[in-house]
Amino acid sequence: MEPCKVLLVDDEEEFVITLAERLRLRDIVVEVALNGEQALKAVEERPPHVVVLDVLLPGLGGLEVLKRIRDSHPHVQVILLTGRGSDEEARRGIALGAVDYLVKPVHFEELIAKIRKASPCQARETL
Amino acid sequence: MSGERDTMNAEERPGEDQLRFMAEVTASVTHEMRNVLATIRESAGLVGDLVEMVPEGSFPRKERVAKALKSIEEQVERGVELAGKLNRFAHSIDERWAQVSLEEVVEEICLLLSRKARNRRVNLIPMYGGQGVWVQADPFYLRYIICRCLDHYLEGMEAGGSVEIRIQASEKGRTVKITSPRSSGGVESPHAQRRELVIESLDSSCGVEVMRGEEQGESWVELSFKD
Repeated sequence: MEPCKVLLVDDEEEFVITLAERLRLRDIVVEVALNGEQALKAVEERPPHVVVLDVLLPGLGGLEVLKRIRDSHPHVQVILLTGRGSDEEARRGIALGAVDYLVKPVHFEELIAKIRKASPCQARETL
Repeated sequence: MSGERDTMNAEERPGEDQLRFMAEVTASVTHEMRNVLATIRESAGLVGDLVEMVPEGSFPRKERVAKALKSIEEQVERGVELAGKLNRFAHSIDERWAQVSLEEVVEEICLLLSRKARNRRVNLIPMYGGQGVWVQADPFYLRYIICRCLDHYLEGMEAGGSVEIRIQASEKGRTVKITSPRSSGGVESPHAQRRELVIESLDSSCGVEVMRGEEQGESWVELSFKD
């Protein structure tokens, strides 16, 4: 089975780089984007299995990015990161084609489980 | 009731614009707090991962590091809970009239006032029937009234006292009853007298009737909902 290729999209640089490092320790191939435009470019050039996408992005918002990814690359699965109490955003995201959502700050094990569930690729749960 | 509701939707609270400004800033900051907590959680997680990768026996005090990381995670959880409740509190001003869960509101207020209660060494004891009691109310004003009533006790209470916040639903209506033993000093102090004046001034036109009383050595304030 192919190793999971994941694109993490979040404007919190320290958070997203650290999260990427943890995922790489589990043999997941990770790319990072700090805004919506970078994310769309990365998906276009190196389509991942799964995109983990923050809803609250500066500039091009997360839901708009989701819509464009679903239009251009329907096979790419998108997991949204939302804030607690943002049920409406999560519902809109699911309606737009997101496969799942997580409330920020995420529990790492839950993220891994959702990545594995979203795409039939290889991701180790433990080190 | 719907006519009353329409009137309330059209009316502005006193200082509405200033309240909205405060709420918007608070809600925005709680989002930022989540980002801070997320970064702390992942950084601690990464340290844990790296420690885990060190060969067995070659990392002195590994257990101590694990204990410290567990403590960080627990504090992150605490921060997440506080940020979530503060966010909900800030957003309570968004709607002028809504279905509100009394359990959720009381739980939220008890957490947000926990620091104040701890400073005064007073225990806040929420008591739910577990049946899920919902009321129609102004979400912000409801929180304001409950907080003010709790203030009534907290401000003047002696250390070691306790305040019970009991949610009840019956055929007569739904209530939040705040009770404290008189021996805790609740209504005797100058602070409490001032708070009594605040409670007396509370507007009952928002679907909440405020009553006060004393019985069997306890003083109480009861909020009654009759929608």
